[in-house]
Amino acid sequence: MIQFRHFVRSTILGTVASAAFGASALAETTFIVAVPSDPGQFNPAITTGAHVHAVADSIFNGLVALDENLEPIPDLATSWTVSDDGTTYTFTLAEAAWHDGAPFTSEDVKFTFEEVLFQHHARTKSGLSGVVSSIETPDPRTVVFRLSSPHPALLRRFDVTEAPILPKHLYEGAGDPTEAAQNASPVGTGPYRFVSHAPGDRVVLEKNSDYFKGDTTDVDKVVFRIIQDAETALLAFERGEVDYIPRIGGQNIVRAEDAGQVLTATAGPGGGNCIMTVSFNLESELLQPADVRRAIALGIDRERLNDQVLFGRGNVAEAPFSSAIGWAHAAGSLSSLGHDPASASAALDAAGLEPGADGIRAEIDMVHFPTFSKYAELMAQDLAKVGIRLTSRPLDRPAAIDAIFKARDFDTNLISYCNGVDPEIGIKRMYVSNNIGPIPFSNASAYRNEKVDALFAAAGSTADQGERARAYGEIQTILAEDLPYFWLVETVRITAASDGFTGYRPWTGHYLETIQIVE
Amino acid sequence: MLRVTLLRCAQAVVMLWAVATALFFLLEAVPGGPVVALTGEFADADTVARIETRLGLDRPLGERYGRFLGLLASGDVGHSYTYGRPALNVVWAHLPATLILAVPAILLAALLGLPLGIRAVRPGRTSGLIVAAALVAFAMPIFWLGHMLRLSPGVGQIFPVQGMTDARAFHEGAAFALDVAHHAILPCLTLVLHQMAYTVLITRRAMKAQMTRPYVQTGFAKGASRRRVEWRHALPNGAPPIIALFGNRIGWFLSGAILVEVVFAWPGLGQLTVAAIQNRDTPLVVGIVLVGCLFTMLGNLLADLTQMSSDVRLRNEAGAA
Amino acid sequence: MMAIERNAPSTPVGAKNASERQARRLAFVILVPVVLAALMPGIIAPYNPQAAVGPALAPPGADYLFGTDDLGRDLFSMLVHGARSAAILAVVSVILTLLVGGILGVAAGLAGGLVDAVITRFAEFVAIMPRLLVLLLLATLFGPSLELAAVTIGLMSWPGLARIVRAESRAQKYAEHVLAAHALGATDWRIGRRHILPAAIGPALSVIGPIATAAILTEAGLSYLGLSDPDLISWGDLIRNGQSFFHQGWWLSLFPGLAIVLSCLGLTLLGLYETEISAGTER
Repeated sequence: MIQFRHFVRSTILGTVASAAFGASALAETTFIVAVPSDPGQFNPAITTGAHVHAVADSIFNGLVALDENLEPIPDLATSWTVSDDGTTYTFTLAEAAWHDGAPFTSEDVKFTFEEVLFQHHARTKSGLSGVVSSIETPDPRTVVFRLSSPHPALLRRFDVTEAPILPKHLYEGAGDPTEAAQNASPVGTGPYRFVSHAPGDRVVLEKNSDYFKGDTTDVDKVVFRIIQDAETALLAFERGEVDYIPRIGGQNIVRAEDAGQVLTATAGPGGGNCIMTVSFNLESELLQPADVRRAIALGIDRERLNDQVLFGRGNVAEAPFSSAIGWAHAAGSLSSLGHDPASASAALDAAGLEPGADGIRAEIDMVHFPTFSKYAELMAQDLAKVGIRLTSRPLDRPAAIDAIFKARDFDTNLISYCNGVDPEIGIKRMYVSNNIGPIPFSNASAYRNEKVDALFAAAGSTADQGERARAYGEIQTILAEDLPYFWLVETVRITAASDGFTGYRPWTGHYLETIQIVE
Repeated sequence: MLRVTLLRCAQAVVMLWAVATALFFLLEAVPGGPVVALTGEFADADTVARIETRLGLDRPLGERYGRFLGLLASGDVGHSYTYGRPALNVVWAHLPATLILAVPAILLAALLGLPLGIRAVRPGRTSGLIVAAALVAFAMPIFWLGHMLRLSPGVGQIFPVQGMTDARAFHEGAAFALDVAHHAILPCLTLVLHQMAYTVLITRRAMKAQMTRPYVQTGFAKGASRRRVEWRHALPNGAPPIIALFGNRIGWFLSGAILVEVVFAWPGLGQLTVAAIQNRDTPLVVGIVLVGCLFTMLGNLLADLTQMSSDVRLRNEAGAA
Repeated sequence: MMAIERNAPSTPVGAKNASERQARRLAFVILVPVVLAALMPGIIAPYNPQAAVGPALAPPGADYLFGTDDLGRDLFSMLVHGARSAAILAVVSVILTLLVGGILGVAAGLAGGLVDAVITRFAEFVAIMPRLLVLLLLATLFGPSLELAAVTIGLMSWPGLARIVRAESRAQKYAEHVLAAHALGATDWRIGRRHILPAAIGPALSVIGPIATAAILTEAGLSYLGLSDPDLISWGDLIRNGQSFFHQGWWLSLFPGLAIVLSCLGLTLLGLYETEISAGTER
């Protein structure tokens, strides 16, 4: 009704032109986010898809949130204690309410983990369902997780992206949660509540005025506009039609800075601390000798990749593990792999790959998503100088995943492996031998090393960070020697944001939770 | 004419089946399934299998095709994987946005292109300019044309660069209609320029052929004005290829103006098509294409009927064609 | 639908006037450099188009005629090599269109009956399949490839021509001199070769421009959607890449765009005065 009165007033008082063309006559503050694809549904607990989390995370909460340094801070859990042996976590829960008014309780947490996250959320299912032996709810405000062995990454896996909490009263008995009607009109506890979804066009959320954390934002409405074309999104940002683009290309930093502000973060909803990584297919005869892989690595100018693709915003990878996980990162372990075409050529000669009459020693392909074409082009230029012809094979997402992980039809591929906030989450999967197979973004190289397997197992089951760091350090030394992958650059997520607001948190799914108008 | 219409309907059913079948198998052959888009990355074999079972993707190809045919026979294409609701509903929901662009573009192209095409037959410099402009517009990649319009100093600055409505305002009623019109101008202009180029060139050609005919000379000899000869005598005789052009391109406007919709982030069928392919949403792709085909066939039928009613020879022959 | 083009006469080949000669001359002025570039890009291009030869985003000037791109490659050299892609698209699609459209059109026109009906229906089927969507799917299925795009476009462009050729063939079949030849005992093959084929050449020539233009523009559209051939330089892909640098390097999208416009203009001009712009040419 208020809407209607607003409308009448704006059409009668304003001139027709200003109603149609001018700034909104409504006193509300609307914030526009450009997203590249339609989420389709809004249940973040059944998918790790970034296109769903970019929208739906704002409607829900996790037990914990992550601060700028990716350390856990309270969200639905106001406090927690961990037993000395690291196997019992007790959370005290906030007095929160669902958007439909029902109270949030520990039963919601138990239900969500057991019935939804452990069944359907790919990362949480594979990472935690075997670790959590039971979830107890002694009272509505307390939930206790008992683990079969210490899992030091547990808290970092409890944020809204990894473990969003769903309303039990709406999902229980509603059948398969992946098909539930609720997924189209979500009810959460989060800072914004769902209003409407026009497929292919927009999703509208409004401020949750009863948010349990209080009045955290000045924004009344958030509109997610679906804009497939990155250039169109940027142009809209420049013209003020859009306030926020979660991810822009490095080449657009200057334009975004002129029109607003640029935020960078190493993490974001759907994965963080990513390293652009070349996987060598170890089942390919040509690439089996480590010397050949080393020679290829020496032939690649990673500094130039950082300069010309990321416009200097990333870092050349110094170790197989992301530098953002500082305690586990073995800085300098890749220091012997700087750009050195002369040594590369010599090593290839030594490996018996003499150049032919046309100067070509070998031909290899590289499967990648079309968005990574620039990297592939630059590497092809570099490798041509050492006599290797790199042919680029851009495939769209489903086709690339099929070629790499199912058909295993590639020599090399280029994947942005997101390390996550703990090596257990995003790193282990790349190297352990029981993870070779059709699972997307698993061990693409088909790398097998018993020692590495054993070290990962040891590091993942102790709570002692020093001990873990030692094991991870040893792993990285072995990896730098074996080179099943080559780690190019640590990328950052570059966000374009309006400078009319402040308080963005681009590293989390709750990036809009605390935005305020700049006075 | 009734016989022709009935025959056409029967042919249309066969055609829709053929198109749907071709698409089904093409999409089947394309690597990668819809599961990754649904589960996100890292899904384990067990999760993938469960979703494939739910979507019926674990069944043998023959059985799936059989089920697909069954659905088609009942006028359905199944549920969209992405949206979890009937794909045709999703298509119908996107259709109005596409029509908002297509209908004015087609009408304007005809209203402007026809007189210009006729004018371009007369000797002189103006004709040369018209033809040159049409040729340039004809030779431009449509996405580039749209993008250049957006960046151009005049129109590019007045009109929004994307979307169908102002996402900040939540207009209703008349203000909403104005808002949509305001947003539609650039994409519509892109489509108009493109279609108009076709219209001018084809009209000019058809008219040129007619203007050398004896009956036109007779018209002039009888003292009719040039305008009257052009519009009353030559145009009706030269109309068939022009009508056919519009009939043929209705389908292009509906499912084919993909690029213009992507450039302007227009929430219609074009943008939906690209997303549906990326998500391997077979029912949705088939649904979009079938609706597009349906409209194309309707357009062709209308074009033919228009011609038949104006040409006795065709009326007699049409049954056999 | 089959009968539509029937009474649309084709202007006699060879009838020339001043403006036609002018158009032809302009077409040659435009197309000759493009053809030369396509035939010997290595000789014309000053630099290796794949290699970084200068500073990134250098504006057009003496060293780099059309400037350099974001990776320091010479844009002029890339345009020259892109001409080969355009030529492949134009030649392959036109040849396939002429072959398939010509053969099926003549067959339908002469045979009549069931053959005619089957070919006609098949032509309608091909014409109604949305071309860009099929190209998208094939690029996903086989990986983006320029040759594949050229072949696909050729195999989807013939129905318009077949329709015209069929109508001409039918008209010729019942033309008096053909009937006379029949009466004198000429074989079908001979009649086809001596009487029908020459009559079909006019309409065949007329579709070259529009088909080649459509092929180049369609590939550009495919590139815009990110499905360009990674091994070949195409103008469409250069536009796409250049668009995001519009403010830092306007030349990056402008020159490739002009290359497309000019080449397509040349191709269309070539047949402007005998062009039956096919109603079925879609992009």
